[in-house]
Formats: sequence, C-alpha cells, structure tokens
Amino acid sequence: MKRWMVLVLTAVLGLATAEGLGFSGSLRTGLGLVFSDLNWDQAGVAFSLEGSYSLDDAEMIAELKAGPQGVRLGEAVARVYLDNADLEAGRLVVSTGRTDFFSPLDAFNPRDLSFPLAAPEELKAPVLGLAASYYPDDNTVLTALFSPVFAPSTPPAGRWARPVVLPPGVVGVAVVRPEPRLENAVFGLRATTSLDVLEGLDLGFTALYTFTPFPAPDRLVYLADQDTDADPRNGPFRLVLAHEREAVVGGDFALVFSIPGVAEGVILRGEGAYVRLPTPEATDPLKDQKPKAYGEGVLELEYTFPDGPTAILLYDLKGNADGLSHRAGGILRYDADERTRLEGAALYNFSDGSGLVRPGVRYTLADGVEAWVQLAYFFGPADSEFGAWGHNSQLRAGLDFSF
Amino acid sequence: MRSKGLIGLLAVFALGSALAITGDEVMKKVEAHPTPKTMHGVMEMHLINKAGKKLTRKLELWQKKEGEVEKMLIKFLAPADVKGTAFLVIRKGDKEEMKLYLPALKRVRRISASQKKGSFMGSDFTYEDISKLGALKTEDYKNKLLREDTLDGKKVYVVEAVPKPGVDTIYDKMVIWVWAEKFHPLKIEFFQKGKKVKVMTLSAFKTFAGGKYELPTRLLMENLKTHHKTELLQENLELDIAIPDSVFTERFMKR
Repeated sequence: MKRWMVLVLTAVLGLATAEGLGFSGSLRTGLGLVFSDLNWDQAGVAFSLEGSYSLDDAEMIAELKAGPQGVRLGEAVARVYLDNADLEAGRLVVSTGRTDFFSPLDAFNPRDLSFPLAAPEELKAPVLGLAASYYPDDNTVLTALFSPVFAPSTPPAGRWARPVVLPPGVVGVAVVRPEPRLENAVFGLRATTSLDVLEGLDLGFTALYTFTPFPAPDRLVYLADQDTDADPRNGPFRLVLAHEREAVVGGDFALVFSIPGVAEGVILRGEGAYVRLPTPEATDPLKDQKPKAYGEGVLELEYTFPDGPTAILLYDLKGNADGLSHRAGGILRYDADERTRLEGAALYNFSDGSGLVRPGVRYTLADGVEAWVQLAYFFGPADSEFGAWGHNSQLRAGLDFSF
Repeated sequence: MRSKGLIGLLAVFALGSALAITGDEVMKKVEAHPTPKTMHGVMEMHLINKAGKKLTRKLELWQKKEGEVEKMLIKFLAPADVKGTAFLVIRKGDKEEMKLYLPALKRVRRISASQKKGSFMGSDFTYEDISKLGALKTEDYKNKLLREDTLDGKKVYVVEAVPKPGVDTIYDKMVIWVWAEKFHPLKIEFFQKGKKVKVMTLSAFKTFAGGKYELPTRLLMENLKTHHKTELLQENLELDIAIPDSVFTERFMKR
C-alpha cells in the first residue's frame, strides 16, 4: 500500500477514535452470474471508510475506497460555512445537473465507468478543486467551480471494455492528456433559484469550461522509421488521442404541478445543454472521427401513485451536424413494506435499437444490512450502445453493510 | 319509596351533568392547550414487524409555525446507509412543497406531494399523521361524545370525530380517547371505509418550558391490517427556542 494511503488511513482512524468525531463506512458486495459463459463477474465489490470532523462552521471529510482496482482516496474535502457563503476545497464531488441517467450539464466530475452497473453515486469520481457558493437569499445559490487539473473519465474495464478497431495503417495509439497548466484548468459557474410558481419551480443555469471526458482521435503521426514500403500515405501511423476543449452551457428546471382529480404532485424535470467543440479543419484526415458540437435535451416526469410505486419516465434527444439520436428510460420503485423495495429500470436507444432492463429487489435484514438480487439484461445489435454488452447480461446478488 | 324515587332522580341528574360536556367542548379543551411555535429534538423511530423484529431510525427534527406558514426539516442520523438524508416540508395554507436531499448524489430534489398520503419513512404513520400531530383543527370535524370510560385507570371521554365535507383527510372517522383530567388524547382509532385500520396510543407525557407545555414523548401506531407497529420516541425536546428561517433551506439540508 502506498505510504500516503497508510497516512490517510491512520489519520481517518485517528479522527474517528477521537471524541466528537464521526466515523462511518460501507462494504458493498456483489457477484454476477454471466449468462453467456456462466462465469462470475466479481466487479462491484467495494469497501469505503469515511472519517469526518465537524466544528460549528467547518467540517472535514475524508474517504478511503478499496475495490478490485485497488485502494484510492475518494472524496476528501474541507468545508467552511460563512454567513452567506460556503467554501469547499479538496477532492470534490458536485452536482451541476438535475435529471437522472442522462444529465448533459453534470459534467464537472469525471465518471468512473470501469464497472458500468455500479450505483449512480459510485460512477461519479471526485476531482481536485475548489467550490465557492454564495447565497444572496434563502432560495438562490451562485456557485463557482475550479479544478486546476483536468481528470479524464475511466472507460469500462475488463469484460466491459469495448473492442477497439484501429483505422488502416495505424500500428499504435498514444493518449495525450492536458498538461496541468493554468490555461488547461477546468472551471464553471452554476446559479439556481426556487420560485413560487404552480406548486414550486426550481431553475438552474450552468456554464462549464472543461475537456471531453474521453480522448478522441486528434492526429496521425507517421512513423517513418518503421515504414517498409516508404509510402507515407499507407503508414505506419501512431494514432494520437486527445481531450478537446469543450464548453458546456445550458439550463435546467423542476416544476411541480397537479392535474385536478387525476394526479396530485406531478414533477417535471428538464435539462438542455449546448456543448461547443472546436471545428476540425476541412483537410483534417480525422475530421469525421473527431467529436462535434452538439445539443442535448432531457425531459423527465415523476409521479408517485397513492399507496403505490414511484414512476419516472425520461426522454433524451441529442443532435449534432450528423443528425439526431434519441433514447428513453424508465424507473419504477415500490416499497412493499419498510424492509422490501422492488425496483426496476429500463433504457432504450431508438437510434440503434439497443437497450437495458434491470429489475431487482432489495431487502433490509437489519439496520444497515441489505441483501439484494438484480437482473441486468442487455439487448440490441453487437455494435450498439447497450447491445455491445450483450455478453455481459447477468443475474447479480449481494449484501451491503453500512456502519 | 319517596326516598328511592329521589335517589333515582339524583342519579339521572348526575349522569346528565356528567355527560353535559359535548364532544365539541372536549375537543376544544384539547385544542386549547398551548402549542409551541418552534420545536427541535431527536426522534427515535422503531419499526416493529409482526414477528417482533425491529428496525431503528434516528432523526433530528426542526419545526416552526408562523401564522399560516409551517416549516419542518428532518435529518436522518441513523442507520448509516441513510445518514445525512434530509427532508424539508414548507406549508403555506393549502400549498405544500416537499424536498429531499440525497447526500450520495449531492442533490436536492423536489418530491411529489402525493406521497403525503403514503407512509412516512416506511413507518405506520402517514405524512398526514405526522403533520397533524398536535394540530388537529376542531372546527374541521363534527365531534360527538360517545361515552365516558376508563383507560389504564384514567377517566376518559370517548369522542367520535368525523371530518366535515371538504376537509382533506385520508380518514373518514377517528375515535379519540381524551384524558378527562388533563384533556390530552391518550388513544386515537383511525377508520377508513367504516373499518378501524390503525390505533395510536400516546404516553410518557412530560412537561416542557417550565410546565407551559405537556406533551407525549412516546407514540405507538399499530396497523391493524398488517399488525405492524411503529414506536416514535422523542428525546431532548426543545420548545419555543429561536430557530432561524435559514434552517429550512436547501443550504442547511446539505450541512
């Protein structure tokens, strides 16, 4: 184990044993039986330990996480609460969006997709940075975000990794990350307010200046010393992948309303974003493979049936110069009693005919101890968004322990 | 013979005087107890199933009433998997907004008001039960004194409270057992579609604010259909303390 981890762990345990300090954690276990090869998918086992120290107007939180990828520092922040402002520094997790599953505005933190079936909160990775929030009144928040070092998202790993097909002539790939310089810093602004419209309206505006979360083809480097036919047009090439600068700008809302005699307390949420990216030059041989500027809008409708389940329906529309793509999703949650929760989620990509269905049941055995069973079924063509994981359809079960 | 007739007459008169108090008068006396403008404390909620197995939830509660505006914030302290979750309700007359803070997602979300008729945090209390605790409006009900009785050795008035047309409630009747000496409800039976569905008992009365308030610190709600029980214990109650409006905000939910 690295020395700094031992130090952090010692500090966390030290904090936890001192008087008035908080100490909590969880152990999540999960094992999946994969239908295609009847193998076990062990991803999803995670242990976390969190120590916190709170004063009247300040607090510190440090989290250590351990899983199949090793031990790492999770969220670790110091917060100061002033009269009309909060300051936060460290490894931050922030939310700049409002909708579930598809949230184009929530782009400040990188994603850890190494195990795509992890809980939504596990998919968001902390990032080194500062956050300052100002509260001009009780209903309005203005937040400024700054991260000196861009952190890329982690792609699906192991049996979840997507096959890579290299263009003709390419013999190697290099990934270039933005250097940790001031001009490569990530920053953003978010403003939210609540208004007394119908049964309540929340509005938000977000602007982020960041990089594309995953690297994309940037240029081909001709490897003259490895060329056997001496024709530079045939290669060999090294494909250089890089993160492009992107500006994400958009708004979001949540509106509560009732339809008299039909439905009380319906919630409509939405997000709309425009993501601006550099336009490739017309002579660029990789121009068709480079990411293009796009717009994305998400609408989400939530309703809880009296004495029944909570249902959420989503629709996501994304468009760029090449055309439109659209996806839809649904979530259903029902607490049969205080111990038993039935839950299900489904996603469908209309553009490629692929989808995911995830029904499950969760049962509380004792305070902080839950057992669960879940089916994850992927379908669609082999080269589609969800169909590419068709070989990973599985039945999962596990025990989660929180302390 | 004459004396026997006189005794009989006196007995009838005594019974008449005893029942002379009406259901409305009993409930007005209940309502006349002063209610605190603010409340802060820790609640322990025990969810007890038919087999007697128990789950415990610990909550911190802030409540404030200013005229037509009622505000309530609940933060979960335990169990660990829901610790930090916060629930905010702001009611202005008929308008009600409810928000939920999910610490794992770092998001405050509006939640559906239709949930108010459902279970409160998986318990046998509905949101309506919780919000109406200590704030039952007498004028919303037709109150009829059914009889006098005794409950655990205490003399009680048994009052039937039927909501007047237009009153928004999930119950079509309540039978309230009111302690005759102190005019505190000791037991409430809840009826839906003519059937008794739940029974709440209120006990462990304690005085607060130098005797100004006397409140039950233990509530037990039993669901007669499922035989499931919820016990609510209130600890360290502070009443009429200054609670700033900033407590009932998204900012405070996240802290």
